[in-house]
Amino acid sequence: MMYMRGFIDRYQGSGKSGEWNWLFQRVSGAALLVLLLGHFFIEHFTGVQIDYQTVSARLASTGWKLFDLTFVVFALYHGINGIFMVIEDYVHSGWRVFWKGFFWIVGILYLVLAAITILPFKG
Amino acid sequence: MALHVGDKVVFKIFRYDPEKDKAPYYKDYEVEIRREGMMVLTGLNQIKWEQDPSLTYRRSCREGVCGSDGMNINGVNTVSCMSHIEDYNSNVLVIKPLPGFPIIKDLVCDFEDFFNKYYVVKPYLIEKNPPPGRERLQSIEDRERLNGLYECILCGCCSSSCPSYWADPDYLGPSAMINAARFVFDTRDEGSDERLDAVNNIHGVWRCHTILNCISACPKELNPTKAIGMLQKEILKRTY
Repeated sequence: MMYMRGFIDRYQGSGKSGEWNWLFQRVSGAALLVLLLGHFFIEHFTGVQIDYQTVSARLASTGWKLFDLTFVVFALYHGINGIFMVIEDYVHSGWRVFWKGFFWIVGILYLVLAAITILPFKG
Repeated sequence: MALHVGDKVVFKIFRYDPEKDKAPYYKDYEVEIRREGMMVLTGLNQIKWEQDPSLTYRRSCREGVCGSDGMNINGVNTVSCMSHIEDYNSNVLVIKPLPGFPIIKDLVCDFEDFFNKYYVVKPYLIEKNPPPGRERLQSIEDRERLNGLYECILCGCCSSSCPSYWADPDYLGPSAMINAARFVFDTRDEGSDERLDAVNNIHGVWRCHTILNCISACPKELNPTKAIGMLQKEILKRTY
């Protein structure tokens, strides 16, 4: 135990085991599968013509806003958590802090971008 | 490819003596098949005893129990004493030390790090209460849960085949974790909490990316990936 503790304390923050990340990578993966199939069905198989009018009308409803935001949150979590795992695999120096921080910022920026795109639609 | 008595096979062996050689190199040796179903280890012994005594490799029991002679033969990790020469379907056998381990000389690797990781999971019976009666009894069903876990001979073939083990120097590796599972799922053992605590860690069970190399490498046909999955499930069960 002591053998590994030093390493984790230095880069990971004590008590962070990776258990939650592992579980939620699976949960978000399963959720993405459902959301993505829903997305495909709505966009390509319902026969509704896709142009700005219909899409903005749809996005005016709170339900669709919620659907798209959930989609974005799970996709960003799943993708960036995957990058974190690659970083943990290959980066064993202090650069790990840099790269993880970098992708935290990337994630937050994309989330803000998605929110200011989806939320303001008003019919 | 059937080999018969008297046939010749070339062993292309990785040679490196850090005291003499600037860089590792491969040397070819001719091995004569002297009996049907001859093992690779028998071929190595033939080279060492008759052609080149400087060839260095570990071996002991020569029947797949001691786990000394893990090596990489034609790209596959295995123990040479359990590998028939003719099963490789080739006239040339490329023999290398286990990948990912520091090399001491020729086919001999440094296992210190490997065993340090093994000791992290406390691979021995932990008892907190004295045995009830004369001994710790176990039902046949409980004993059967250990099948596929207890047979590990610590040859290092699985850990050495694992890309996660190569990439992360602190990763415990499949071998240490199948041995953790061997005690965690033993009803006689009372130390499973501390063992699960040792593997519940970004360098423990969560570093396994189910690449499955360990399964094809294991000469005892065990399934370390499944054992790691069992540990993951057990940790999640105890947390949530």
